[in-house]
Amino acid sequence: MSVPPSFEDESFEDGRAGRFERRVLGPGREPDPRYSLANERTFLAWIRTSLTLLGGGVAIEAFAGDAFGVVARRGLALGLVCLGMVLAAVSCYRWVSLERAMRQGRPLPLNPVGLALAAGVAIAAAFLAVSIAVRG
Amino acid sequence: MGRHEALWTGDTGLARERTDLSWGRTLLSVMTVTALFLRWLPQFGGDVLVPVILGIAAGLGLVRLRHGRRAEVFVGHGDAAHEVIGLTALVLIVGLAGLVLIVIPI
Repeated sequence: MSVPPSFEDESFEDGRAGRFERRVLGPGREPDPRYSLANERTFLAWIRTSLTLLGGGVAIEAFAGDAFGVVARRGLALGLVCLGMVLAAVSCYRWVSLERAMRQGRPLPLNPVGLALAAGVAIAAAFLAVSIAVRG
Repeated sequence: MGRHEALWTGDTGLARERTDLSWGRTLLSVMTVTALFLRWLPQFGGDVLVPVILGIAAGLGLVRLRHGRRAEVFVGHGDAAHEVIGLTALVLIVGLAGLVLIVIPI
């Protein structure tokens, strides 16, 4: 696992002067902004994934109608929305932990979220398939 | 030339452009998801407009915040703590509104 470079210039230390940033990001040197931008884009990709799950959950409840049973429809919708919300919170946590690791020159932490997402989507798809099969 | 400016010398600017596009796509996604709520307008009335208006207003607020941060990125400050936490809060609020609207008929 690679460690992104940090600047040795003292003016980069602590990054932005705001108390909020110091509190969220902790101590360390401001990393190369290009790495921060890459971290930001990764966070945005995860957030879009979580928004897709939210949108899917809302769309199932709003548009599925009587395509399958009420319990299955609501269960699936609630499951997808909850999974989307958890993913949004975890992606924010991951952005903070990556930013902190870069600022302190530590190796970047592993990402277990992908596995949880794959498991969640697989369970939702299986649930949907069973619901359609039972109804059909 | 200072260290900050030297960083961007020879940089194509594509990383910043990709980041801007990424924000644009994400905010469009927020607005699309909140627009889905309009499907419930006949059922729940004007209450449904709250998350829709909130999504659009917060999206525009984040665009403004991003615009202000562009200059900071140029001088070497890459973190986006306000934007990241604001967007996460927005997505959680939209999700909560979705949960409420799904659960209410039960």
